[in-house]
Amino acid sequence: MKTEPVNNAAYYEQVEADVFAAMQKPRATYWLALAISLTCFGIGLACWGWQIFSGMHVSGKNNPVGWYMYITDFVFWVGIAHSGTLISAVLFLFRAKFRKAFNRSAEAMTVIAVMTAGLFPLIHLGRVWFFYWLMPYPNQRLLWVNFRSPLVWDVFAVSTYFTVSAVFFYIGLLPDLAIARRRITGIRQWFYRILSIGWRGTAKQWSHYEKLYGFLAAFATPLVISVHSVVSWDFAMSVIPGWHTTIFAPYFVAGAIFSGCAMVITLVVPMRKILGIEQYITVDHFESIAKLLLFTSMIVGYAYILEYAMAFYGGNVFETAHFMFRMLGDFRKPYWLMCFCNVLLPLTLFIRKLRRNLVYLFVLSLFVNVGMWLERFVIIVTSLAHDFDPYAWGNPNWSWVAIGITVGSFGMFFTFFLIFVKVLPVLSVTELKEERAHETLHI
Amino acid sequence: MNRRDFFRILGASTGAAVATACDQKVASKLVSQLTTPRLLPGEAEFVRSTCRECSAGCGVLAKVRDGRPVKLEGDPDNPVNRGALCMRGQAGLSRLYHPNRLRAPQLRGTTGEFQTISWDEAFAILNGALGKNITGRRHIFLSERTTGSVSGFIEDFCQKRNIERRPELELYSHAALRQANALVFGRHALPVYDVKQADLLITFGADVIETFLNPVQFAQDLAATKLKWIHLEPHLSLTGVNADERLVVRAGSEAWLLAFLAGELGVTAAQAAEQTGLKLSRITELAERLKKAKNPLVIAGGVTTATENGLLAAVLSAVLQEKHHAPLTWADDDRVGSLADVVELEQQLADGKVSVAFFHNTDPVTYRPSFGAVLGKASFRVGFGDMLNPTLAGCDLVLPLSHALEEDGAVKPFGDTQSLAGILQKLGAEARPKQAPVIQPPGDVRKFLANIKPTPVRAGRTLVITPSIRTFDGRGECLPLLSEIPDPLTTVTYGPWVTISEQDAETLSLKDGGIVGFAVGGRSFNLPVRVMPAQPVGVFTVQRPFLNGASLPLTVTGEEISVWPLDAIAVPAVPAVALPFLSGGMHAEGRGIVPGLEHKHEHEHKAEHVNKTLYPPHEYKNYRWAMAIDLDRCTGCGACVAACYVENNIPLVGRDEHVAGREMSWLRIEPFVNDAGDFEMLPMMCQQCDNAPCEPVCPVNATYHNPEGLNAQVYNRCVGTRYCSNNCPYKVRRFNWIDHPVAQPLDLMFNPDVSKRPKGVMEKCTFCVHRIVRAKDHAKDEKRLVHDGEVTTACAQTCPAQAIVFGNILDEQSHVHQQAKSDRTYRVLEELGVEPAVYYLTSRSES
Amino acid sequence: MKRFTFDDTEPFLAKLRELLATGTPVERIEVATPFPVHEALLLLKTPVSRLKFFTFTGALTGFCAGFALTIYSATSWPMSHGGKPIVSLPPFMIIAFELTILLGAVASLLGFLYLARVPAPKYILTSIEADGKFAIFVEEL
Repeated sequence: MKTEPVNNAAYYEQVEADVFAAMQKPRATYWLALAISLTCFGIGLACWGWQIFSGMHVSGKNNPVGWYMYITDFVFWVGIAHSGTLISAVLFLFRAKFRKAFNRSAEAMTVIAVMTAGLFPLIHLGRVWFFYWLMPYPNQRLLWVNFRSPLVWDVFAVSTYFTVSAVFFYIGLLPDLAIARRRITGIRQWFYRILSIGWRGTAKQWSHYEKLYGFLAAFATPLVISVHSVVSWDFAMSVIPGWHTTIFAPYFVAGAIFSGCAMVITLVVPMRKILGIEQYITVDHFESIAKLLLFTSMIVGYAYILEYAMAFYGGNVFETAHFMFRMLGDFRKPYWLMCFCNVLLPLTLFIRKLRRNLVYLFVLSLFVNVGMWLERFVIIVTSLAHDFDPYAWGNPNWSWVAIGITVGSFGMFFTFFLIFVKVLPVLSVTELKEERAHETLHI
Repeated sequence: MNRRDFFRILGASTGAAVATACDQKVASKLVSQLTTPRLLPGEAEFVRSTCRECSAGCGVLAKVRDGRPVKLEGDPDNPVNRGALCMRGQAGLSRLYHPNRLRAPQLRGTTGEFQTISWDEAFAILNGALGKNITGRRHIFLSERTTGSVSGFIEDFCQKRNIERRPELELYSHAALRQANALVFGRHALPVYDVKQADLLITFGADVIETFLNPVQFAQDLAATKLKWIHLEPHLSLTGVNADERLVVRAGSEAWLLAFLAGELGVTAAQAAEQTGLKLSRITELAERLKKAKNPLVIAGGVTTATENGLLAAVLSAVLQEKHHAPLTWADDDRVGSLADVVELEQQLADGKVSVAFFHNTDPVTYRPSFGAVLGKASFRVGFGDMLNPTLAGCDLVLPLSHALEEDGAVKPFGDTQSLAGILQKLGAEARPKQAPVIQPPGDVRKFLANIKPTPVRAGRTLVITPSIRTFDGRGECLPLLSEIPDPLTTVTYGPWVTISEQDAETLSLKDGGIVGFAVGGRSFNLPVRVMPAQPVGVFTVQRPFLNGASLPLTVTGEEISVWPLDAIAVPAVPAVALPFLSGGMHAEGRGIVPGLEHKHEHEHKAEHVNKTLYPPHEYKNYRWAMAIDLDRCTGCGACVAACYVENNIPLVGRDEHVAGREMSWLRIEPFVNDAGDFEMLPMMCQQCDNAPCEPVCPVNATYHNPEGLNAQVYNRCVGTRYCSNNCPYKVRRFNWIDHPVAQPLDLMFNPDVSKRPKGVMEKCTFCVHRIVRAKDHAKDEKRLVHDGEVTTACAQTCPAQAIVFGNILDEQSHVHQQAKSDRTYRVLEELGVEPAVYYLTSRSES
Repeated sequence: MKRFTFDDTEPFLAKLRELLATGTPVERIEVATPFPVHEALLLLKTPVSRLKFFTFTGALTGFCAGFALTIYSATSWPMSHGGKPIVSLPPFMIIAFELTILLGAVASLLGFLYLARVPAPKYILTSIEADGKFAIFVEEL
């Protein structure tokens, strides 16, 4: 990118104009997409209401299978959230330049996905109206929470994760909000005026800002690893064969980044097209993220194989029987579909041509999304369905309510994402400008 | 308004508001009416009664709390059941509170609908009907098996009012046994066998621990003795799997073997082997053992005596009993007839010879639909009962009977019901002294045996029709608890079904829930199948209540035939049904659940096998509650399950929830089978682990380890994450997926000591913690610790085989401590290191 | 107050250097830029941000609070769970870790708001001079 502009000012203006053009009055397709998303969201809320009213039996769970689609959804959405933090924080620390194309939408995705994920522990509670009992708060009955429970770790990890990623998202947005305050007129301007909290960009402000951004990135990096480790410990801390294994934490973290990268591709490929910002998010950027996808896919594939290796090498009767069941039992179809989506299909990314084909990447990312949802489903359901005592074995039931709530979570996610693309700048204008300035100043 | 007026109005309105809150309705709901002076609120009193759920007639103690019976327990002073009670007996209490109970006399109006009338009107109508004498017609009285004073009242009533008292109707009348006993011993009655004095027991088809005669007593005696028990049967039954040896013979062939064993009819071992399908060596060995035994006891019954050869089998077994001087006492049930008598009555009805027909607690229409067709030919029909059944529904006048417990003063009656004795008294009957049983001279056995030849057995598929351990002859079908508890071996809850073998399932390409079609007794049935390992090939077992609506063919002795050729079996092209069975798998070898080699290994390497832990062991001060279950004694009858349901207010959820896998039982019996076809019945409840995996995962401290070792569950604190259940290796926790509404007035049966659990809450067994608390309170009053045996759980209390021992394992003198120290002891899934507090004792043969 | 505005960094920095060269003391110069211009920060000798003290305090508080909360609540009503000790440090460490991050991040944010003097009602309610430009403000005596 060694073009020699006479004047960067024109470029700055162009970036601003392009990015803010995307925030103009939406077209019919946008409204259609929003309507579909809202409908799905509404279906999900209605299903949840029905479940609260009539009881958990509508969710298809039963005696051995106490966790089913909701915990699957929870882990799925938490996983989706992870790549946002990875792209914005970890790649920031590593100074990977391609992050600038994705970081804003990835961060938005993180915040929205954590919000979505955070609902599922509530949805799956038998008595959701007492959800606040999971929080430690002083009360006259001296009742506290049990800090040995991985679910309490979840409460802390997910709420910390939401707070930190929301702060990170907002701090990254702050200079861009200041631009929005200037470019957008009328009543909407007040929204940006208030959100930009009087940011001026003085030398002192920038010096504190950069420090803060660095600290937040440094916090977010171990946080992202801890969050999905904690989520994986929901399973790994138990005694159930198929859950009780030490590789879960790294396995889940890699899986989370894998699924998150796929979701970034799913979102950004159509977004750049619709918003007309192709020149800022290029095929090169996608190729970089595709490499990340390939890498994490191989970690996930390794973990799949390792689970079997440990079960069979260990020779534990329960582990062996469980993994035979996983491979050949009643859930073999989702299992093999999962292997296809998560392990075999991403291997095609070794071919450079496919890596750079956006249509292919988009379709692949959809498969990976499905595959990663199935991965959590398979881990949760098969392990519970076949544990120690054969008498207690049993499969869960098909449930329209659980499907409806799952669809509703996608509705919620896309609703918020669609609102995001029209309300906030989807690219970091400030960072794009800064990058340009660096290129021209130092070279 | 000045300040004083304001206070006046304020005071008056507050007073009015408080006064309206003192609604009498609320007050009457809080404390039930004090009916007897002995009643203490919060304390239970016990009322004696007799169980009517089968013909054994066990003694029960009804636990009455605040004027309401809440549970039945076996009467320890009753010689029949000695403190134990089977699942039918446990479920029997819900008859008292059944929503369908008749609450007032009903008269069929001109429109054909029942109308409620008063007792005075009912008596007037009855007297009027009895007063009319129509030439050529007689009044008849048909009742269930009655004893004692009720029988006397009926006798007196029938004589005074010129009514023909028909032989009493029991579907399982054991008529062949009666006839055989009349022939051999001169008693047309059923014996009480004393297995305690025998050293060898050979049973032919008699399901002695399920429904045959006094199953509770059999279970107790068999558990207490060390005799060798060989059971021969054509199918697969719970009795069979509990015998020391189970031999499968061809249906209807038992008489051949009995004849060989008795040395009668010139049957040779080879003939017996050919007919029964047993190996010749097996048969000679059996004869050898019978010869060597000092006090052998041979019992034929059940499916064996209800066949074409049934009478011969019964006579031959009686001959063997006489030969070996088996000690027999006789039950007071001489008046019981058979279905042949019902057929005779049916003919009388058809011929128009019956004027007023009385039906007391009996249902011939269900057993023989053709009876229903002619029932209308009687001039007037009167039914006595607690609920409408097909026979009572065909009556003109239905008189509601009170429950046996209501006749005692301790229980406030529901509705306007009366006892049968009371009704008959008002119609002029008086109490009669007990009549001496009829003793006739024995018949000529030689002559009988000289004129009979056993029928050869036919080959091919066979339908074996058995009574049900849960609903007996079908009388328990109306009690939901009995459908909620699984059938012990198949674990099917809500029927109907047919049990078939794995090979037959393969031949017919059927899976569990697939439909087979067959015809029996003039009706065709399409029933789902349950595929069972160890079920004999070619044998299809169905329980009698599932064939209601068919008139099964009768044997020569007037019993319904139990074996039916099934050559024309069809697999109709209808979709399979979702059959609710609770077992997810019947094979558990190598898993450390049923006794196996791995436990032997653990015992042999005890020292190195102690589970290593980083943490200090638990310290208990006075109590560590524990349980020992002797699998050698346990028969898997399910009495404990029923007791647990009633004691702990466990909700009944119904068929659909069972199909979905959401049963609520805290205690269950798990049947497991090995490759040799041997079953192990394993009672499984919360193991109250020292290192319970469920406890640390609860986010809200709703479950924790209490200072006495119990894995406590705080229902009010539970938010319903179900994590504890997921993490339980035994899967004994139960989640309330829905609210469980109970039909009125069944809610009055709730045990007030145990709270009801709302929707969204996890529940589980806590060793009947309310009983422990009560015992500890009592001991504290006397400034001592709880003695061994002072407190026991509901399951241990009712167990007929006394397989369950509960107590404080810290007390070295306690029974449970002794049992836990036995070299037969193992714990389920011991290697997980969860340190369960339930000790299982393996069968003697295995240790 | 003198004000110079530019559309690009080069002329902005040139003017800034010129001002400093002509002897204008740094205390009297304030700059506002749409993105951080490190040369300007160096030229103006902007002190190193004190934000780290906030961050450290927050993180340390979170770490201590995590252990304090867990140990206090476990011992205030000791309940045995699955044979584990009342004070089970490994799980409590997770809480302490999460709280370290949470309070560290929140304290950093608050510290930033304080140090950068935002939210600034003055600049929310009124328009900002030279918003979006590279601006130099020189305070006149």
